[in-house]
This record gives sequence, C-alpha cells and structure tokens, in this order.
Amino acid sequence: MSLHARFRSTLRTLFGKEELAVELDDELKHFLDSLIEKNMARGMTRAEAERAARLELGGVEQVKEKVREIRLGTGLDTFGQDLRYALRTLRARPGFALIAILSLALGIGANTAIFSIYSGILLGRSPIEDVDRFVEVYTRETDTDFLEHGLSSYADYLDVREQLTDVFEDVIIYNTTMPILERAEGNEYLFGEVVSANYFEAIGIKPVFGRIFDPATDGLVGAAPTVVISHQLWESHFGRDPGVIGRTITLTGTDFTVIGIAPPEFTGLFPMEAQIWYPITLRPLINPRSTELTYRGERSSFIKARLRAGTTLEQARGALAALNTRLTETWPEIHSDAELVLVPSNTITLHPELDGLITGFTLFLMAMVGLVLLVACTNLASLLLARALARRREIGIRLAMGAGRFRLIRQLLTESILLALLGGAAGVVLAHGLLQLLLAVQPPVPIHISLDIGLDLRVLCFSLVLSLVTGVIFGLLPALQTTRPELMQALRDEYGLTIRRLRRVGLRSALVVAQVAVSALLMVSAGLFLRSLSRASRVDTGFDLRQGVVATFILHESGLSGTESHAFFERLINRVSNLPGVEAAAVTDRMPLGYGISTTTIYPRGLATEAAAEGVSTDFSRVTAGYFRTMGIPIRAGRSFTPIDQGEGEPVVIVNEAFASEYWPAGDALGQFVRVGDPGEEPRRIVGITGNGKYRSLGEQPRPYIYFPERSEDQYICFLVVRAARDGLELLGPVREAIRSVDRHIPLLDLTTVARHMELMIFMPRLLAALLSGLGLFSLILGATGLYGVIAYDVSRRVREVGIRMSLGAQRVQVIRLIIGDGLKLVVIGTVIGLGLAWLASGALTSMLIGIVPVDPVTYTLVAVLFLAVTLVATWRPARAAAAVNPVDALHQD
Amino acid sequence: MSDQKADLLRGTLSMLILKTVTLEPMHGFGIMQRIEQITEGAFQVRPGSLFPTLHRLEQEGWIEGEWGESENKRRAKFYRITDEGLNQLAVEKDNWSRAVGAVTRVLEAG
Repeated sequence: MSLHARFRSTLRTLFGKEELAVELDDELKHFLDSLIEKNMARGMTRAEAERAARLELGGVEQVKEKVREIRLGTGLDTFGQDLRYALRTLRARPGFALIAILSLALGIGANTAIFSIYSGILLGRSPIEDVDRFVEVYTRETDTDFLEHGLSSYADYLDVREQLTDVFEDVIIYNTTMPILERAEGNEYLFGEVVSANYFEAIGIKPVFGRIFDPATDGLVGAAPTVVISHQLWESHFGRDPGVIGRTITLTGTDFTVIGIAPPEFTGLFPMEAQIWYPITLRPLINPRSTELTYRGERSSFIKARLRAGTTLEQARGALAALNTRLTETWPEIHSDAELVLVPSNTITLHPELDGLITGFTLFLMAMVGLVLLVACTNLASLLLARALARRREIGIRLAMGAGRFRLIRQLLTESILLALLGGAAGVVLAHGLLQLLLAVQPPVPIHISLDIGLDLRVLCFSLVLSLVTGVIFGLLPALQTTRPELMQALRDEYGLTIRRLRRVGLRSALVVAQVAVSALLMVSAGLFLRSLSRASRVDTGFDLRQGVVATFILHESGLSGTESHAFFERLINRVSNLPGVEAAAVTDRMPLGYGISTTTIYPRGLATEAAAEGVSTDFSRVTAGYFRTMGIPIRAGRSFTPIDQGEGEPVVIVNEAFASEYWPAGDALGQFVRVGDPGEEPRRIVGITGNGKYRSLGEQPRPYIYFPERSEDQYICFLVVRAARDGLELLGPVREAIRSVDRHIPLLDLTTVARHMELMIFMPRLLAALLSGLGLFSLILGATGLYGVIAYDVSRRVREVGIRMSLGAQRVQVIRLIIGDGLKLVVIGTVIGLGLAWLASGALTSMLIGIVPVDPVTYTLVAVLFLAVTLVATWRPARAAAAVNPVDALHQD
Repeated sequence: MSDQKADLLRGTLSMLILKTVTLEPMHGFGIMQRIEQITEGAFQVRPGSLFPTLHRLEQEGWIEGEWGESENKRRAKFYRITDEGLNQLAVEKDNWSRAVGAVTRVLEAG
C-alpha cells in the first residue's frame, strides 16, 4: 500500500469532509437510479421499481455509515467526532461533569501524591555512575540480636579490599560523622561522611572546583588533614568563593585543608545531606576514643564494591564464602556468629530491611488511596450506567440507523476517558498541593534530609496511565451494557423492558454493594486510627512531664572525653536548675518514645532460667541522678540514683516493674544482681524499681527496661531535660543562654519545648489518622451519593409498579418501607463484606495502632451504625417521592 | 430469493472488483452488474458490502475514483485500477489459486 495515497486520502477525509459526503450521496443516488431504471426495464411501475431498489440497497444511511467507518478507519476523524460529542454531552450536564471530575481528581490526586513519595524515596536514581556493577557488603549476624543485613567493620573492609582483588576492582567504605565546625560566628554541627580515599573516584563523582581525594596522599597518618565540602556548604558558608580551595577549616579542634567542592547534585550516599567528606583514617583526629579503625567487632560502616568486568555475582559470593571461612578460623570470637553477605547495589536504595519497611508502608497507603479511587470509579460507573440507560432510546435509534456497536462503545469510552483525563489533570494539581502540605509537616529534624519528592516525568506518566485505566474501567462496563443488541428490541417493546431492566438494576446494585464495602473498609481503618489517636493522648506513658524544655547534643565528636562530658553535665544541670521556674533537670542518652532504640544484653543472676544463661536483649538508657524526678517517673520500690552511683560507688541499676516481674515473679527483685556483657564484669545490684512506661512506641505492650547511672562513659547523643513550673516557651531563651555560658564550644543540635517534643512522638499516628479519616469520609460521601443515585433511579423506574401497589391498597408507609428496605439490603450486604475485609486486613494495622486491638468492637459497631444512618438519609427522599406517587397518573405514564 | 444465491466468500469481493475494473473504468452499479453477469448470478453483490469495499480499495490506493457521465447520461463515479492495484490483484489471484488448489487436493484425496 502506498503511504502517499493513504496520506492524501486521510487528508481528504479530514479536511474535505463536506465534499466527501456530497460525493457519497451522489454516488449512492446514481446507484439507486440505475437500479430503478433496471427494475422498470423489467416491467415494474415506477413506484414498484423504487420500492424494490430501496429494499435491495438496504438502507442508504447504513451503507453510508459503513463507508464512513471504512474511510475514517484511521480513527483520527472519528476520534475528533467522539471528542466533540463527549464535550457536548458533558457541557449539557455540568453538575455531573463537575462531580465526576472532582471525585476523580481526589482519587487520582491522592494516588499521585503517594506514588511520588514512593518514587522519590525508593526509585530515585543512585548518584553512583555504574551502580549496576556495585554490590554492598553487609554482615549477617546470627547471635542474640539477629540481623540479616547488619553493617560491617573497617577490618572487614580491609580484608575484602585486600583479599578479594580477583572479583572486586574498587572497594569503598563510608560512615557518618558529625564534627563541630568552629567559627567566629558560633560553633555548629556539620553532618558528613568519613570515607575511604578512593570513594569519589570509585563512584564517579568529579569536583566542580579543586580535586577529590588521592589514595596516595590523602588520609595517610601524619599527612595534612584534607576535606571535600559540599556545594551547599560552599554556598552557605563561603559565598561561592573559589578561593576557599587551600584554606583551612577547623573541625572539632583539628585544622583540615579544603581540597575540593562536590558537584551540587551530590549529597553523599546517605539520605541525610552530607556537608563534608574526610578520609575515614583521620577519624581519630576528631574522636580519639573511636575504636572504629582498631576493633574488628565494631560493625558501623557501609561497604560497597565494584565487580570486575566479567565477574558474576555468583563468583563474588564464592570468593566471599572463602573469606568468611578464613575469618571464622582467624577470629572465632568475633566472626563465629557473623558472616559477610553480598547484595547487588541496584536492588536497594537505603538498606534492604529499611527499603522493605518503606515499601510496605507506601504500599499500605497506596492500597488505601487505590481503594478510594476504586470507589470513585464504581460511583462514576453507576452514574454513567444510569445516564446511559436513560439514553437507551437514543442509543437504540442510533444502532438502528446503522451505527456500529463498536463505534458507540468507543464514543461512550471517549466520554469517560475525557472525564478521567480532566480528573487526572485536576488530580495532578491537587497532588502538588498535597505534597507541599505533606513536606511542610515533615518533622523538624535538625539534619536536612534530601528527599527528591516532586512531580517528575515518571510521576506524571503514572498519573496519565492511571487516568486512562480509570476511564476505561468505569466507562467500559456501562458502554457494554447499554449497547447490547437486545436494546434494539427494547426500542420496539418498551413494556417488555420492565423485566429485563430488573437484571440491569442488579448490576448497579452490585456496584453499590462494592462501593459500600470499600467505604466500610476505609471507614473502619480510619476509625481505628482515630480511636488510637484519641487513646494516644490518654495513654499512660509512664512519665509525667508537661512543662519544660529538651536540649539535644551530639557529643561523640565534640572532643569531650567521658570525664569531660560528665563534668559538662554536672555544670549544665547546676546552672539550669538555678533558673527561675525550673524544678529539676537531668541528662539522659535516650528519651522515651524518641527515634533511637538502644539495647544491651543483660544476664539476671542467680536464676536457673534460660534468660540467665543466654542473656536477654533489653532496652536501656544512662541517666543522671535527677532523671526520675525530672521526668516524673514513679519509683515503686527502693531508691533513685544518687551522685555517688555516678561516681565511684558500687555498680547499681534501676529496672522497671516489667523487668522485675519477668525475672523475679515472686516480687523479690530488689537487691538482686544483673550482669551486663562480658562474664568478667562486676555484677550490678538492683537498687530501685520504677513504674512501667512506653519506651519505643505508644502502642507497645509493657517492656522490660533497665537504667544505668551516667558514669563518665563516652557519650554519643544526649538530652538535657528541664522540668519547669512555667511554660517551656519562656524558658527557651534562658536555657540557651545557660548552656552557652557553661561551654560555648559545644553547639546545640536542637532546643525545643517538652510539648513540641511530645507532639513529634505521635506525629506519625496523627498523620496517618488524618489521612485515613479524610479518605474514609470521602469514600463515605461517594458511597452515599452512589446509593442515593441508584435508589432514586430505581424509584423513578418503578413508578408504575408503585402505582399498581397503591391502587391495590398499599399504604404510603408500606411503600416507604419497601423502598428503604431495598436500599438497606444493599448497604447491609456491602457493610458486612467491608467489615469482613477490614477484619482480614486488620493484621497489617496492628503495629500502627495505640492501645486498641485491630478488631475493635466499638469501631466496627460505629461504622455499621453510620452506614445505616447514611442509608436512611440516602433513601429517604426517593422513598418519599415514591410514596407521593398518584396511582392514576402512574398508571397512565408511558 | 437471495437464499439460493451464494454470498461472496470473505475477501474475494475485493479481488473480483479489482479484476472487474482492470478491463475499463466502471461505476458501482456497473461493477455489481458485471460480477453478477459473469458469475451468471451465482454471486450476489450487496450494496452494503460493495460501497465500503470500493472506498477501502480507493483508500489503499489500489483503485482511483473519477467523476464522469454514465451511459444513462448521469453523473457517476468511475473507478479505474492503479499500478499498485494491478500488483495487488496478482498477489490475490496467486493466493486464491493456491487456496483452491489446496482445497481441491483435500477433497480429491478423500
């Protein structure tokens, strides 16, 4: 076939339409005339000849329609026609169009927003140039704290780098660092990465100014310390001055020479934005007590390795297995329960387990918003179906006129897809707004987290596909229904339709049931979260601290030794306690319900139990003497810590009631001993028992907990908690001043009121509850309108039936009961299905709920009652309308 | 009456039309009459298939329509075959005889 001819013909079809129509008329007229002449030549009269000719031609319009379909086979022109037709029908009912577009916009918008979060976090492009050839080296730890993908140590890094040269060509190690940048304007924490000297070269990052690390010169012991700074730091602290190369900056007392500036798009391999990079071998300059480089068991770093060209993952795994054997033989006490494992870098974004968590969470959200979209779809499908059935006479006529069924379906689909696309466009705008909202409520963590969340091309493609699929889903069913060939019959036999119509109402009823079920599911989830949220504010956290402030410090790279930080705490607590309105102050290394979790292995002594022999992993914190009074944690038995416990006194601990009753059920825990860590360690006496509290999350069951007195250990993160008799906001300034006057060298990471700190704890449950109740409410409204639509439509179709019933003596009340009963039936079925689904899905919710079981009878009952109420409202008007039918008029209708 | 006349086999109509307009340019009615004549009325061409097929062939570029005056002094659209149409006809003829040959062999083999 000639493309040229096809092109010319299509052009003609598109632009010479009038002319073509006239030509086709003429052509068919000639044919008809010839046929008539032929018939007359056979001896028919003119009238007979004409009739016979028309019969043979079999409908001029039908032939024309077929020819048009052939000619417009390219679909272009038909599409234009369908589009104009669709626009016309939408304009004719702007209310319907608006509702449809709005509900689709909400559904598609919510989906787009969630997807862009998922895509931003987990589908982001790796900054590594040829990430497909990289693998990560994790440590699989099979001792008490089982870790599938634990971090690895510096010693492991050296072994992999030096012993696996056959399979790996570049091996890099990196870890976080948070030194103090010393400046005249005031010191501050910098977040950065300590890296192997080959880091930048291996992952293919080139500096915008200066140079990257050279393994031959940088990071060597005795050489001048060097640092690469981020583009952002260069902008914010050095005014984009290229002259910064070669200058020195002071990090925790050590001068580093700036050698290069990283490109703007590179912020390190952690999700937190790195501001500096320095060689890992220089860490002791910042933190002389770090055992990272010397202790083989300190597994705190990430290792990545690039496979040699032609080396497969399996070969690398084989080589690693051999290394594991050697390690276990050489270092049995460190490596017997730990083996190195490989994971391809392109299969993970942050960390295998973390990725899984995020994926699970976003999938849960996607499922929720997906259900809402489904409700919107079914709602629109039943609205369209109702409309299409109302238009069945028109459709029947068009079918009779020779319109192809396919063509009609396509036309109806064009309408629904147009709606979906408009809804999708509005949804993308909505998603943009939603994202701004979500990102605005990001918890104010002091470190900037680089989240590349936005409406990029991938997200837009997702929305487009979603809109198209949506349009087809809710458009196809009504289109197929209404263009069924028996409608031709319906045209002729309006009465006969009554029976068939009942079946069609069946489909609409099924849609309503589905809608009700899904909204019930969403409402139950929303209800559970709302109830758990209201519980959250009443849940007993085990401490009673309402007013005050919390200050956060990072001390492990502050240059302070354990003894120095002990002295720092003492002066800090003294100074702050003397501020007006302050009741008590203390320092702890872990806030209950905070972000971090720390556990240690505890061996209860003198017991013949497995726990005593094997040890139990237990949550703990180190606290100063005034901690329990400051936090308002009740001491149930024994005593609190004293300054002597923090000094040279006998080693002691305080445990909570859950710990005491777990190991000494007889209630004689006080005075017993526990051992921590190595068998050689001196046992510690239990001197106090506190009330139970919530430590990791508000929803947790009572958990054993152990407190150690702060005893000049090296500190990592620590919190100064101030209990006050006045509003924390008024104390922020005085506390800041007090801290500065104690040591102006140590910067504050964060300073906030107790109230704000508490808010952060219930941030996630609150966000989820808000999100889900919004979705649930929205789907409830959709479900109710759907129900109303179906009942109202059904009533309008049953006017004759109602008329007959009433003329046979049925009372208005009976009619109302009949109509409401029909609606109720659908809702009861839908609600039961929805509650059943919610019950099935409840397992997924358990971990996110606070203080209530997922199968919460109150929530289930409330949802059921709510749906019954909605049914009554949705069916009341149609039922009244039915009851108001005048039997005489009704029987005369049609 | 149409019951005794065989409907054209699917796909053969376009071949017959191409063949018919090889001889001389013809209008739709003429093509219909010629096919019925040659097949001695065995095949009936329905207008409902004739016109769509004509327009499809035209769109494919195998035949060209041209307006002229018919034998009864009326304005009519005459179709003539193009070079591409001739090629296409050769292809379809070839396919047809192969199909007929195959079917015949099957029948005779029984």
